[in-house]
Amino acid sequence: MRNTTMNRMKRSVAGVLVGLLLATTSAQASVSSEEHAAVASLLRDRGQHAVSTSLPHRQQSEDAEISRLLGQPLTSESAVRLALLNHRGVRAALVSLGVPRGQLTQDSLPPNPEVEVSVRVPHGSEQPLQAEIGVDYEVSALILLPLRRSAAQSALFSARQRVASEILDIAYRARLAFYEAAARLEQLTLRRQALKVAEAAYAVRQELSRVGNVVVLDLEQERVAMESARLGVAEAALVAQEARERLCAALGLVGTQTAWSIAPQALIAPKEPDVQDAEQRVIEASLEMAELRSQAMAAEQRARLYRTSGVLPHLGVGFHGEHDGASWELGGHLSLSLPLFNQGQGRVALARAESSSLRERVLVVEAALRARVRTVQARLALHLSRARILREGLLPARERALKEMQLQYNGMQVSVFQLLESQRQLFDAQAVYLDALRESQAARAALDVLLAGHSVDLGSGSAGFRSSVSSSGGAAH
Amino acid sequence: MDRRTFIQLGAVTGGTLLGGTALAQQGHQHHGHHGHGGQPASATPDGTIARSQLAGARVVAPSGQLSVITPNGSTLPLRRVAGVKVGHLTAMPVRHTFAPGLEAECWGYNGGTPGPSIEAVEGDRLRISVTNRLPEPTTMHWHGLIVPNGMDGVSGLNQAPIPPGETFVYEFTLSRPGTYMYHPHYDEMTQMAMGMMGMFIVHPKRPRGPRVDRDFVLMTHEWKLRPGSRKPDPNEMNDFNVLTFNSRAFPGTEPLLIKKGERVRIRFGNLSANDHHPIHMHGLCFEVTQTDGGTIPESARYPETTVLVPVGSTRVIEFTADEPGDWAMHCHMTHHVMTQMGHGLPVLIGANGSRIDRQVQPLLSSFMAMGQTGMGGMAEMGMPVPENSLPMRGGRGPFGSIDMGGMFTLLKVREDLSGEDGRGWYRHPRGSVAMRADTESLRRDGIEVDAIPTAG
Repeated sequence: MRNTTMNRMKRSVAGVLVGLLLATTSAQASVSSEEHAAVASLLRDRGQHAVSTSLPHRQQSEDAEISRLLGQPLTSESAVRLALLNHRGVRAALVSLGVPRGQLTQDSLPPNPEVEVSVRVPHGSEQPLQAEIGVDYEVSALILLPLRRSAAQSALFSARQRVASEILDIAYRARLAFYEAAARLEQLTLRRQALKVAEAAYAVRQELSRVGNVVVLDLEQERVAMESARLGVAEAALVAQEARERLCAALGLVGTQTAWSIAPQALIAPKEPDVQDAEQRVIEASLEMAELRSQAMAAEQRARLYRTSGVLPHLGVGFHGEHDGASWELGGHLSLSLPLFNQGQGRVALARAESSSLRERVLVVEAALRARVRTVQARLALHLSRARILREGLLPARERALKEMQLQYNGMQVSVFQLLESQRQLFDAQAVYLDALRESQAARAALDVLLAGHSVDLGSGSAGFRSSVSSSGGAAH
Repeated sequence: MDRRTFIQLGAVTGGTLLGGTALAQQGHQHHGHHGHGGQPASATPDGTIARSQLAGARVVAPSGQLSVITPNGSTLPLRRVAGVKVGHLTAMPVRHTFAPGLEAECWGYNGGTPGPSIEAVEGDRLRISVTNRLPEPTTMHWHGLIVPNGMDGVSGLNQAPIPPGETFVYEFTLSRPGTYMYHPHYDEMTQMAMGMMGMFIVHPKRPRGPRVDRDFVLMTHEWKLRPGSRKPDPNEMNDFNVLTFNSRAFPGTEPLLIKKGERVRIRFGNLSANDHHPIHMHGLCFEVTQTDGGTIPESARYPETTVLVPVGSTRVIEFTADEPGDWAMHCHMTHHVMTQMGHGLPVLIGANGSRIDRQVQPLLSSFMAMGQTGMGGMAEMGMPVPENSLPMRGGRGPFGSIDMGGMFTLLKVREDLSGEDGRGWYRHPRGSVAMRADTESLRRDGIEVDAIPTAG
């Protein structure tokens, strides 16, 4: 009887151990793909199919795709795809999910039994060998396991939402950096054109000076204008270089990868958004709010755990066997900690406070998000309007003015310098238009990412946009 | 002027001239000479001579004094009512052609600018009704005439202004013969800059001196009309760019047709805003016989070829046209014979045009440097210019482009006027036109062309 019982117990313990080992092993192997799928699902739920399908999987195929994308002039879409495939922040974010996932695994494991074996050898040879064996198991930990697991599960949900938000942020920043680089590179080209205008004006003055038709003052003023234009090119080149480097960083490009180019006229006006009830949609999609709610839920579950563990601090059961040399004596025991003083009140209060605070933060975030949506919509409307005015009004007017200036020049009513100045003003207007396109695309991207659930940082916004761009000192002619 | 052929070179100049005629002739104001209200039916925007001038003058005053001829203009019809000569002037907006290709929305009288010349005789009692069809009040001042104070037309001083839509009556007796003018004296800066002026001729009862065969009236004026615009700029004070005889700029000026040996009188008036005009005549010399103050004694006259017509004054010259030909008559202020000349431009004379083109054309493909060899021949370049403009454009003559515009006209002195319509050019006797020198004659005269002369 005793042997049968021991055998059953041995088999049972071995089975639990093997089961736990298998469970642990399979959990370690599935973290990456499971979390990858979970995050992709979160993104798909927010309409971010392109982002979800661009998440990195296997290194080899990604390298080929990255090379293919870099082999062509970049567009905003290819830049975003590149960032998702190549930016280490995406991988770091995904891998970071292993932490809460590991915690969940850990918190899902039942406690191990404690086995104690002792052998006693009495003095004198006539006394038989005495052996004792005892097994203890902390039942309270097993009872609390579902509560602990729920809290860890909520923490994992929260982390997934944070990671999805981080990935959206990386995609958004890649898009912003692309627009910035596209605008600055085109503006640099315009600055160079403006410099050519200034150089032409100076060359004409030089020629007139050579034959004694202008005073030195005129020549020097033209030189001032030319040097100012040259300075403008240098400044624009730095701005373009910085924008280029920001895009490199946003795409995670290094080494030979940084020799990319941008598709010509990559910067176009975004479509007018057709968004109904944008505030509500943003609130519903917000990953930040969902993350806070998950954290609050986790805190509440911890509070329940602490409350339960407070009234049941320790419950253990045990089995004890003793062999006196002739027979076994078997028995069991129960150990119980009495929560007379410490019922975990502090930890419960801490977790509850944490939960309450997080619930309040959800409301704070909601109010901020609503304001952000309105800001972005206003900003988008303004910049779309600016771009439209420039495209349909100012630029055609500048072109017509240049054409009329040419006619007036032909009629000897204006000078070659006024004609060149008109050309320079056209370049300036084109530069301003590029700014308007960049700003409107940035605002559109911000609105889109808000609707996707990421709480984008808007920065100083329109307060800093320039109403005009000057490429030269603007010497009076 | 660099005469390189330009890609856009076409028949712009010629086409504009031809097209402008039709444009002007469709004008709503142009009726018969001496017609209703004295509208300038004789206007010949292409510079041909009006029928009225070809038909000759009629006697309008004692001792066979002939009617005046107002080239490009008309004479106000007067009716006699109970011993008073009655006329009607309507101040009104007019669409005016300075020359083919250059129109403007001006103000004038009876459909034109200048208004019809008023022609009467010393001692006549005149009653002129002035109707105001302008958007603002106006008055009428009889410049140089001595009239009752209440008829002098200074708004606020001599009379109340004539409101838009109202008609005021002026009545006075012409006490002195002479050459006078009329113009508004309410907001005269604007109204005169817009074209409101006219000549007023009072023939003497008892003329002195030789009878003239032709009696021309020319009002000089200056305007600011930016190329491409359609309204004169009354705010301009100095930089006028359209200079006119009877509100016409050459080649829109009607030539003065004269038969050889005729005694001719030309009455000049100047109601320009700011500039006197030294009118120079080619092929003739003359004497100044009258000012708006009266007749100059014969003893005080002397022969001249240029008469200075000050602002606000009239000058009358007389001469006998003895030398046939097409003779220029123009203001000798050189900018006054350049239509819509741009001022304040850099001088390009002497510059290397190709060098400039190489710098600018990559940026502006239609660009071409101009003026590096001078500014003649602008019209021949045919470059596209703003619509409704004649910048630096002149006319066409028998030997090519006449690169003068503005206050420039022609005296066509002919042996025989039959069949003459002003379009034809003088046929020079053989050997009487300057031509390219031939080597033999140069050698005979001891001219060494290749020798560089030195000063002193």
